[in-house]
Amino acid sequence: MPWIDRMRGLPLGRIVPTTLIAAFSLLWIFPPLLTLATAFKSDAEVLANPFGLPAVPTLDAFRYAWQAMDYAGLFFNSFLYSAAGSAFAVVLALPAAYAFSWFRIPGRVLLFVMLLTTLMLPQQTVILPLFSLLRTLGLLDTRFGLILVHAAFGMPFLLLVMTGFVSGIPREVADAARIDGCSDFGIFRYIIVPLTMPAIAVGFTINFINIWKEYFFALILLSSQDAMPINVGILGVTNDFFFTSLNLPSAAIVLAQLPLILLYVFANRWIRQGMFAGAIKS
Amino acid sequence: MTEAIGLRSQVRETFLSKLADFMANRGFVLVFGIILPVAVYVVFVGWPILFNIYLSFTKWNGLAPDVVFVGIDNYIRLINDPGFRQAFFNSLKWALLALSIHLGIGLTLSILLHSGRVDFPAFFRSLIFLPFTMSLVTVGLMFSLILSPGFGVLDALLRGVGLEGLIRTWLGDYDITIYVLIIIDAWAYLGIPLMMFHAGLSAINTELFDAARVDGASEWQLAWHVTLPSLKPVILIVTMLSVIQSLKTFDLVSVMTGGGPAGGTSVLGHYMYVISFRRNDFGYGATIGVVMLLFSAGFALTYLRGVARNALD
Repeated sequence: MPWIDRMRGLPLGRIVPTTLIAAFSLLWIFPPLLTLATAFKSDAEVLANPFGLPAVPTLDAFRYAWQAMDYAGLFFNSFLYSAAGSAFAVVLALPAAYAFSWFRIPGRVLLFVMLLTTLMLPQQTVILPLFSLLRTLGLLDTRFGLILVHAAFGMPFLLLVMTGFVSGIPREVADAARIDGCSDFGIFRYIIVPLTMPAIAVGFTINFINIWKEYFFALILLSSQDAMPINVGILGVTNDFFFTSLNLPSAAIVLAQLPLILLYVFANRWIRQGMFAGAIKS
Repeated sequence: MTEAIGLRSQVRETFLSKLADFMANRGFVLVFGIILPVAVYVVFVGWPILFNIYLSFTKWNGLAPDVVFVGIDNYIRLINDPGFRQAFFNSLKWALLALSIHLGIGLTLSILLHSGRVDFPAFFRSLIFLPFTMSLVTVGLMFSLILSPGFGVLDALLRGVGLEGLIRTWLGDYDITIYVLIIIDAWAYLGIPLMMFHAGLSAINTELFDAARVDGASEWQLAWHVTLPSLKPVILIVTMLSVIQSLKTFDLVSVMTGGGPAGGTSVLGHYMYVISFRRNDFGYGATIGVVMLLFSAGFALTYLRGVARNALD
């Protein structure tokens, strides 16, 4: 910014703003780091040394949280919902992205906006009909029912990410194939799908994260303990039994967060690419 | 005789091959590209929106076979319900305050990080983006621990630096708990406005500044007449996203306070849930859902029209 350029002549013109920003961003990094540190402390150390790094790191809290709360089951459910929900959403959205960007369908802008309304819709405006629909179909409190809902609500986001990508593929790529008698489906199968793989990866990853973070649908559409995703199951730590010490719930939080942290570390580039589109979802 | 059978099977074959041909071409595009996604939308979103509007004119406990039509009774109840009024004003407070934080702090930070006066701007941006990678449930749990009255770290910290006087029951004080939640919510979400402003600032053509400077514009004039107008579209997007985000708030309230103390943190998104699923009043719950729909629709449609144009062109 030019008006900040004035500061350029001042002494320490670089150190002062950097220090200010660093101090400010401590507010963002301190709570997660504190939670991480606390999770590795023993009961005694939590009391003796609440702020610092663990002197004698121990995995006791993790071990205990894992066993007491059936984390294996919760993880399985969360993985299932996130992976299956996103996979279904990709399958639904990819042909649609092809149709909307390569074909002059009458009223396509209107249809497209209609499909995208899902992105901005408060879930509270549809939950009651969805609840009774799933009950009528016998899908209430089933894993399959929740996967269907996640697929339907994840589709618009993937449609948005992939339409932007597919419309950027030059039509000339398909011309030769069409001259050789390739059908619309053939072009989709052999040209669009392989070329769109990067967008599929980005969209799938972000949608996976969105479902992992989702709470409202899972809370309402499920009731059996053994079908719960981790984001609902983790609330078991709020009962008095666990909240008597800080290390157990901290370990539970770290465990629930771990897959997302790993995703961010290993798929950082993909996530950054799709982040802006992802912003409107969350 | 045999000829007729041969003819018939020939007809069937041509029909089938034509069908196969159609399904490989426009049929595939039409059925899987348009009809199927639209059908999924209708079943899971379109019909539920309409049915929810219908439910808002009924009395229904969500279970009984009879849904009783009661006209606008629920809407009259809405006006006279202090619980609704409380949730409504809390949501309004939430939306305005969160928006001020997203725009105020978001814009200031972005401009500072973009000024070239700060080292490692990308690093600081990712630090502030970090909480967005957490679910609001885990964010809520984390701050419940930090703010808990007995052994919470914040109180210990305040005591440590001699500021005991500032200690409050952070999550149990009617006057302040809602602000605590709003700040936590803004904390978790700030990375998004920051990234958007960053993209907006990077897109400004630096020649604009040079031209204005040649014409003798002062630095403040530059900021006011060049930077802010160039950021206007981004500011609009951030505003719409932020308001909708606040409107549907549920997770943090549900995890941290359950709407308490005494409804002090009750917001529309949570009140709707309480009415529908705790008090089994689907008709009235649907009415609150309609209110949320009306408030989000204007923002959502304006925003999505722009998004759709971008994606389709």
